[in-house]
Amino acid sequence: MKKHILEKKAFVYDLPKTDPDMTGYEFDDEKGYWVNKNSKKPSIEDPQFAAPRTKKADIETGEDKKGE
Amino acid sequence: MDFTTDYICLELQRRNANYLRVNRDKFRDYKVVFDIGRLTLYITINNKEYIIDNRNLKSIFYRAPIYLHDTYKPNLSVEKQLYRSQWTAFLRNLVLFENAKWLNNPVDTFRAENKMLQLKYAEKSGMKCPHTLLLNSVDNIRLDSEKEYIIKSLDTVLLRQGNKEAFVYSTVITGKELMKSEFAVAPVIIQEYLYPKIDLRVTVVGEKVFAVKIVKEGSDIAGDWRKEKENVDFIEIDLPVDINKKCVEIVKKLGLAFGGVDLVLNNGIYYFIEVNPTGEWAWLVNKPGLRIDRAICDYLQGIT
Repeated sequence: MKKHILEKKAFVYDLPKTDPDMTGYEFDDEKGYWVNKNSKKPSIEDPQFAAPRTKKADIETGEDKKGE
Repeated sequence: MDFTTDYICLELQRRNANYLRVNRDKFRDYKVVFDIGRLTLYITINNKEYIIDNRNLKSIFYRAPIYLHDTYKPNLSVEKQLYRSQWTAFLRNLVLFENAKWLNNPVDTFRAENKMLQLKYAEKSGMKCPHTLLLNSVDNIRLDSEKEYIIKSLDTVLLRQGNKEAFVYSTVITGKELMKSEFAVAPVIIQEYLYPKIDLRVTVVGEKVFAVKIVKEGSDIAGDWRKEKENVDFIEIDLPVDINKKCVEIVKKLGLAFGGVDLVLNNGIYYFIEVNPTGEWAWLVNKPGLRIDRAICDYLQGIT
């Protein structure tokens, strides 16, 4: 049986790792954002922390997962 | 994990605003009681009680998904299925806070996620749109075998194939290939292919507009730019005033406060492609003119 056009054109890739490695960071419930465990500075302003400040660090499907 | 919301919380904290982040990953650690009669939500986090009541709640920044694409996740445990479906429904029920200002209200997002409705509203707002057909057969339409078209899915396609996952980008395809293709199982969108083109992302927050063009090594990108995402640059641009206005109007007509509008500039004409009601923007905020986080906080705080 012929494949549906969307299946035929789909881009296939290895299953993505769902969560980034957060070793060294913790979620601060009161502040509502992730912080560096040592410096207590926001992870999003930490140069060592990559995801997802750039589109490059985004996973394959990006915003199409609608926050899943 | 939703790091985009970190930007909002950090900005609200710097403004000394009174806010609570309800983190969907942490419900197990929360003690939650929603008193429906009193329209008051009690959440205890680390022994501290937060009270959210209808009279004092000003605004809600809603980032939870509207659709869960669980059909491609066959290995979810029963507990995880329960967690995902029921907490998602719980969050949707926050629409009970009808007096709050929403960015965006999930009921509006649900409606606005319909791409065909978006095209209708875009045309109503005076935007040009590529000729579009939604179909599961090409038998009764006229296609030019030599011409190129765009084929894309009506909703996000995420397929599980063993240890692999599959995603469907917008794809350039010839009329000849379309005529030989299989469609019956699922409807697809066939669209006029606009090329040469420059892809534009226009982020609308209330009345504010942030526009970038997406280029690779300074040039336009054939097909879906996301295939090239490792190598693209986002360059701030000023849109013509009337296009700005139309983008704001489309987002408003869809009942949204926020929308990531995709446009294409083809031979000097701006075409509407789609709106992403839950569009991402965190990768743009490091540019000084693209402080979308601040615009969102302004909106939530009622600062115009």
